[in-house]
Amino acid sequence: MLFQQVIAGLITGSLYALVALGLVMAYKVTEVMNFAYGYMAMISAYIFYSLFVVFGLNYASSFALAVLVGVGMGYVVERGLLRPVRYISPTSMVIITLGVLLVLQGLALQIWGNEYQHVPNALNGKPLIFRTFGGIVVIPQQSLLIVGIVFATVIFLFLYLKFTYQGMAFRATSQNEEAAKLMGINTNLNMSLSWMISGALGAAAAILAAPQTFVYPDMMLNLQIMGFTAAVLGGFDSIPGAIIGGVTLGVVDNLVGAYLSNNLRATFSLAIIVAILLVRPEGIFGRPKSRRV
Amino acid sequence: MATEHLLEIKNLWVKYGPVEAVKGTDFWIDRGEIVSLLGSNGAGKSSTLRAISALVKSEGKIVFNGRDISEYPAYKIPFLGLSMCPEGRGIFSDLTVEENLALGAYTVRRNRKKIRENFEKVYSLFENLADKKSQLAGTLSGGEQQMLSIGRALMSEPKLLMLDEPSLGLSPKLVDMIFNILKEINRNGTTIFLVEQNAAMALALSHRLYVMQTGKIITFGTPKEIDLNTLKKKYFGGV
Ligand SMILES: Nc1ncnc2c1ncn2[C@@H]1O[C@H](COP(=O)(O)OP(=O)(O)OP(=O)(O)O)[C@@H](O)[C@H]1O
Ligand SMILES: [Mg+2]
Repeated sequence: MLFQQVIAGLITGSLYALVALGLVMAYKVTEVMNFAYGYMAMISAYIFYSLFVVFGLNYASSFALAVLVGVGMGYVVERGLLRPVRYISPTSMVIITLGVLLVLQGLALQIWGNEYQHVPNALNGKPLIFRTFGGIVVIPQQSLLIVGIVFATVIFLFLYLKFTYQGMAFRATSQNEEAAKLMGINTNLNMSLSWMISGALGAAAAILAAPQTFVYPDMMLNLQIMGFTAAVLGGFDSIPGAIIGGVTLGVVDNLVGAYLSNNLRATFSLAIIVAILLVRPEGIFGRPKSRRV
Repeated sequence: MATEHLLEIKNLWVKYGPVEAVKGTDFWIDRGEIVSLLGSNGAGKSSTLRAISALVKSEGKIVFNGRDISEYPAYKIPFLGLSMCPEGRGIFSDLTVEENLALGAYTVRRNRKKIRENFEKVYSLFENLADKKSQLAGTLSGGEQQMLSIGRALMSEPKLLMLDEPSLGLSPKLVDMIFNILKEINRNGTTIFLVEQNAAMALALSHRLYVMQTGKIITFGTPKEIDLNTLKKKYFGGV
């Protein structure tokens, strides 16, 4: 029972981690918390639903096109809405993302209505079943896919950011934009790129989660809150932090649901954030900012 | 080509809203020179450098190495061979010393051999840095950060190196060291444009100097032509 709950927690946790990863990616370079993140992802889920379920395109192409829409939305929001105010009023950027949230929510309602649309799993084969520690663990193939995708994405992003010139340029842009320009780094392009990557991650998360959440305008609300929580736990600008934050949250979340009360899950998660932030304001993995003024 | 200046500035203006920081300056720098720009606080020295690097908007003409760069975005300028160590050093504090230097070579990043050679050059120039390759730059001492800033600018083998007050906040011993290194860099063929408040050092190091006051160049010449004492009395309020 406990073991099964932990496994289930790891699986939900990897979805949280994927959501957190996208938030962190955009934040790392542009320092904007994207409150519209889940709603941008929701649009991609609808695109996927329309292509795959309504028009009958195959899974891979529908997935790819929907993710591409996520990339495009990331670009448009960063370049078109945030950039113009970036140097005039940085604080209003967060408000703009809230505005985008409302617009996308309304738009989805207008176009697709508020019925719950069903989207099938990518993989529907027999679930993996094995016995350990006196219990039975059942892992659906879709869950394995999610874990696999998260795992691959994390490793790729980590290596990319750590060891390539482009990755270093991302980190340089986020730390000191002016100095980055002096190195010859196209910081504007990097800001767009980070939001495009973020958009792709969000879209992927939404499509993978859709079989469980169903597709509707607020489908990503809970995942977005969990993603934020995971990101905050991880320090908000650390890739490994987002992952560990997401997985930890997923496990705690499941254990609370199983042993305390299902209604307390969200409350408990938020209580955890507050507790951790009281002890470590910079998050578990965050470093205290050593930014020069 | 050979007769023209490496850097030529014509009628440069920098405005921050209603504040006019640079008001129609003209000056030039020739290949192989060390040229200093002196002036008291708020004279417009940093604004001038930042305008050349396109970190701030400016009006006027900036010609570098025969090319009009007045309309260039900041990130394209280092590719032409113009590097700058900004006021306050501008290092990436959460990246390691080695990563900071690697970013200095961003413009030549495809040339691995060159990067390796330049790492060696910089580490032999600044031995302190060689011992601290994997230390986070933000944890270096002020002097080491200044060395890192200069070393990083050298990683791209610039034709012109601009430095904004590299001596600020350093001990006299370190100032000596930095100035000796600048001399050596210059001997190896890099032209240097230096902004300094430390007039004595600038006079000792430079081939030519410009003096700026409230946004305008008010006098220029060789160290012999510019008398330090009058300079001090007139423009630095006897500092
Ligand atoms: N971002 C800015 N916004 C508004 N005014 C500015 C800005 N930057 C500089 N100034 C003003 O422009 C003028 C010139 O500033 P600048 O930094 O170029 O001087 P400086 O010669 O480098 O001085 P210092 O020796 O103190 O570094 C000053 O009056 C300053 O207040
Ligand atoms: Mg200055």
